[in-house]
Amino acid sequence: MKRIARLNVNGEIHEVAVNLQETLLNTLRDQLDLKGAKRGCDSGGCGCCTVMVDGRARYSCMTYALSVEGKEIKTVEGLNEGGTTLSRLQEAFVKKGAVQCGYCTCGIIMAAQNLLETNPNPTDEEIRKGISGNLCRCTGYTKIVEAIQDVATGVT
Amino acid sequence: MSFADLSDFQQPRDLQDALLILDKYGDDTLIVAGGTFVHGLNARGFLDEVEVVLDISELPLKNISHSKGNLSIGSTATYNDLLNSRPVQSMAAFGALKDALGYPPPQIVNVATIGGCLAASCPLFDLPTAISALGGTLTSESSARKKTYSLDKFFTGLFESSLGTGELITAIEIPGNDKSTSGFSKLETNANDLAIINAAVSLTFKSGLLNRKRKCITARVFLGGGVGDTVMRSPSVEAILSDGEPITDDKIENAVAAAKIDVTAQGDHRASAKYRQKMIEVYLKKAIARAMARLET
Amino acid sequence: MVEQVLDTQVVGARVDNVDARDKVTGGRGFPMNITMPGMLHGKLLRSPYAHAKIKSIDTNAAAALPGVKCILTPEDVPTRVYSPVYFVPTLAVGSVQDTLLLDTTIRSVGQVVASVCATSLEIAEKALDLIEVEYEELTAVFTFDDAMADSAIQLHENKLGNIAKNVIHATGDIDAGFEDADHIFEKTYTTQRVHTCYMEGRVCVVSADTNGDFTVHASMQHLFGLREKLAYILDVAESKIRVVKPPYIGGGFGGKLEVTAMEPLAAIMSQRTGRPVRIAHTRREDFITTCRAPFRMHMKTGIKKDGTITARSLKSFLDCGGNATHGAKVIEVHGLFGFMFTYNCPNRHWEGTTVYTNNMVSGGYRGYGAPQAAFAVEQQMDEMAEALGIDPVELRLRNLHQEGEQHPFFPSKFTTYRVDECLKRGAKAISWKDRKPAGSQIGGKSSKVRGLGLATTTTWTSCCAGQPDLYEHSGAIVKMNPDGSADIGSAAIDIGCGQNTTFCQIVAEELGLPLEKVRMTYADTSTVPFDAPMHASRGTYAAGGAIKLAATSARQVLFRYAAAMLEADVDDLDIRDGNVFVRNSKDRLVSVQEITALADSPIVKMTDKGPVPDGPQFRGTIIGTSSLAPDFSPIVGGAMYAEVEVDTDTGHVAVEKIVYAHDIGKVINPMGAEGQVEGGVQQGIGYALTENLLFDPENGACLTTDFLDYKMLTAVEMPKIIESIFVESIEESGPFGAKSLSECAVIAPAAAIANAVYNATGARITSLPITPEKVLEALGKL
Repeated sequence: MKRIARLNVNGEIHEVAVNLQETLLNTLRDQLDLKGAKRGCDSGGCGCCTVMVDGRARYSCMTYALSVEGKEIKTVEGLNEGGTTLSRLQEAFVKKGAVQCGYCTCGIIMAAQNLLETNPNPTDEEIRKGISGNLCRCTGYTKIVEAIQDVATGVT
Repeated sequence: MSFADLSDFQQPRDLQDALLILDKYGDDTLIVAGGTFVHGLNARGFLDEVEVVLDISELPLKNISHSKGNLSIGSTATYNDLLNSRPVQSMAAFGALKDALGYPPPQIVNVATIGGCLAASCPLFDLPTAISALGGTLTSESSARKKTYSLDKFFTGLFESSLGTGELITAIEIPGNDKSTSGFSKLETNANDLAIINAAVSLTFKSGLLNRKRKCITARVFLGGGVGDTVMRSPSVEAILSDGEPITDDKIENAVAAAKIDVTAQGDHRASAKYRQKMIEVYLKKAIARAMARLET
Repeated sequence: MVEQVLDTQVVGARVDNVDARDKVTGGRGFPMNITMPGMLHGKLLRSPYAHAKIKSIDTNAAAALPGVKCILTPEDVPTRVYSPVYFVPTLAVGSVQDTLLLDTTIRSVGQVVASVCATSLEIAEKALDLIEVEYEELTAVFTFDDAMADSAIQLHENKLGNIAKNVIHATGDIDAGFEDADHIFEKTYTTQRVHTCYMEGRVCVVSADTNGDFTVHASMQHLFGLREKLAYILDVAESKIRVVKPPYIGGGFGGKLEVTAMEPLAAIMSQRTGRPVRIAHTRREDFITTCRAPFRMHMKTGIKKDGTITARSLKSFLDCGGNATHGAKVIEVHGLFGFMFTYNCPNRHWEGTTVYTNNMVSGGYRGYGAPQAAFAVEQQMDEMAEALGIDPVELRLRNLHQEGEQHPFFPSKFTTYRVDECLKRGAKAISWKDRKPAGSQIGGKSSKVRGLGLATTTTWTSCCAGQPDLYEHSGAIVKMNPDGSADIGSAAIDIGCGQNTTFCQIVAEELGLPLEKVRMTYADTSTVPFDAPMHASRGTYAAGGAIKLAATSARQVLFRYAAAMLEADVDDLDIRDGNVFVRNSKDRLVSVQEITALADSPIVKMTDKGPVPDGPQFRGTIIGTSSLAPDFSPIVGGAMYAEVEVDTDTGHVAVEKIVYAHDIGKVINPMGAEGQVEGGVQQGIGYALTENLLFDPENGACLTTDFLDYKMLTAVEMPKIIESIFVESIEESGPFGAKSLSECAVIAPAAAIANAVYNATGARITSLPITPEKVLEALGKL
């Protein structure tokens, strides 16, 4: 069974017909064509699908689309203004070499955004904890942690 | 009917509406707040009969307050809400909550709810152990009545609790004042893991925390994680810790060694029974150490 | 730490990954994102049994479900027997052909039984539930001993004793070698199944058109391998299949190196329905589709008092699961490279046996048999060093091959080989001299003890030169645009190692262009030359070598045009900073852009007689091409040092620091190279300590099919310090002197950590993973 959901994604209102049990991840990817949130495990284990809802990171694969009507949903596509400018986190990820295959990247950037919005001066441990809900198989997290550190300390 | 075929999805903003929906659909309803265990339930086949999702995350049940030695938590308060609350941040009595809520990653902490965690009655979760040690109770409401459960009797088995059809957990009450301290500890393989075992302890002192003699008169000791199908209490450990005298290192050693009298750990693919049994002592000791460390500050 | 040994501008520079901006803003290029108009969604029905015969399949109820468009069962699909491994031609003698697209004999839990496609994923899933399969369950074998027992049920016809493959390689006289020895050490080591954990699951979208041509998108490591396998399985000409190269994929690590059931089934269902069909694995399906094979290894080494090794022998068993697939090749790489390569010794003997069981099918995974070998070899080296009273670094230095030496049994010289230097530089960086005697801190005040350990690795870049039955050629097109930029057409896929960046750097360097003037472009199997898979650490060396050659050939055309424009001799020209100039007369120059503009857009002036040429005219796009098989595979290696802290109360091992010194040739992409080490360490520590695919011993079902049960390291458990040291030299056969890196970083960690755990605790753990339970047990505390 479907219902029309009214979703505020990156400041734009979308009215979409969703299955009652549809996850926000599916709606974003398959209906709104926002591919930044990735399907990695569909069970809240990898973090590739991380988005922000009302300013807090969560797994969009564990979120019903219908449960976040009326809330502010932000995906990685909403971080950079326009097509070519990057947010500071995005820029730092590029400059530090924190992106390899890139499949986990958008989710980790959203987790990092959550971290820096709640704790602007995190320690190394706090950064690692802040992205502990996200898995990466390419980077060993080394350059990811450095990139987040750079943003926190104002290097980027 | 599989979970792919919901006939309704409701997100009421009023408790009475929620209870009416529960009345109407009964056992066919999946109550969801943070939603972080839905995949877990689905993987275990628990959702095959679900027809309706009742999303309670917008109910006005998020209040957290502390008065008259009682911490009152709305059932849909998130881990984050509770972790950042003043009593949990500042009172040694609720140290076990601070410890336990600090483990999961942000995406879970941001949305998972206290009531949801208890309702699942999943032995691998952390809060059942921590809140049991703190002597918590929970309140449920149905359209017919309001009920209070002591957590000691709430968990009846693996994914089974005393909660009846039509009941919704609305609040959790946890006693705690300036006479007690508590601690929690967890064995995990990585930072995004369910407990292999966990341990929580709450200690109450005769003359309060500021008195240097700190004679322990009450102890509550619980073990959970993978040790059994539900959390388990260890009266033997409690008896040794609460003999009315100060807690010394030797006493802690004796106490944790007594856990085996009450608790026989299970084994599974994540850890053998033998290893878990051994770790009960180690992690109980860590939990006690955390509780005792709170007295130093 | 990089020693500059070549005067280069772009090669060796810390440049931004060319895809990074796209990836941080959404990553549009992943195959997972591909959809097509009218696309149907496919699902695969899998067996719940480990060993069974399919008696019957009833699809009537499923077919009647509205929205179901096609159902395939074994009787609906071709029955050609194949080996699914991409880098081996299907009929190559060295591989084992034992796989059917849909087999009526089930040999492992999760084997595909049937497929469905429908107008939505939900309908396809529902249809799966409606397919009734009648199985006749057979006795299943899950262990080496059960599978090889005389009485064991046979899983494949013609494969007696369930031996899929048995290989022996020997040099010298092993018995004489042992007789020569003062001491003999022998022990059995075992390793577990682990998953590659690529973050993007396997997915494909196949579209068949009315001409009988197929267009294929997939997350995989080899365009042409997928084309060849599909053509063989479907029995059509290879040219009928066009496999499109994704701009990049979400990780591979060897886990996307073979055709699975999804691609051919999607192709057939697309053909039957006339609509594109997409199939994507769930993570659960991914976990049971590929893994690094578990090994049992019995190793024996003879050594003299002075530390000279006189005899080395190894008997290895590999559990390949129900079908041989990669198992038939991993066993060889394991023996020939993992075991035979590292330490010099005249007498070596290795026997490797690939064994069929009813466990999940094993696959390819970074290191391809070498991490397992290193776990045995490098622990035994340490055991010998301690028994002989020789420092472990020194014992290795005494037995390494030497640069310039001819390899005793491979057609290769150690042209550039700096593992000795890697050992020394790594030892310094980790303060090896401060290492305490093994177990000396046990019983001390703290329950936490620290230890240092090391392991070396040596393998072949590319690993296929001189191997007649393996794909090993690469080709590329470098095409110049009127604006002076260059496009690369290559079938080499960026699987996450930064190949797109490295390749652009190579071409930019060769054409004297800034990096941003070079791009990787669209490619498919119809438009670009063949390339072997992105595997075996061959990307930079082999594919990069071909890409450089294509750039060189484009440069020759550029020079020819420039020579005419500058009225100079081609041989006097050089290229740099976007200009072609006359050597020794640097003011005589012309920009690359001026040349390319002339080539593609002739400059004319208008006269009353119409347009006439203005200056020299070069009609024709400047393009360079290449296609070649490298005739050489340089030997590469390194030394990894690990510092661990072991909690003797819990048995928990924390890796505090890793130093990896690597014999890389020339570093082309330094950030990419460091990333290879850092990522390799993440995988290596997981292999050493936490990762383990577990199965129900009764029915063979996988118990670890999500990331809560399968434990990969998060950022929290990673060592804070991972130091990469690149010991550079110029490998003449490689592009700008480059050799390789990727696999070495993942071969050494488990062995180095095992040795460090021994150093910390005095307890030797010979089976992976080194779990807290095993540590406590070894300490006598459990």
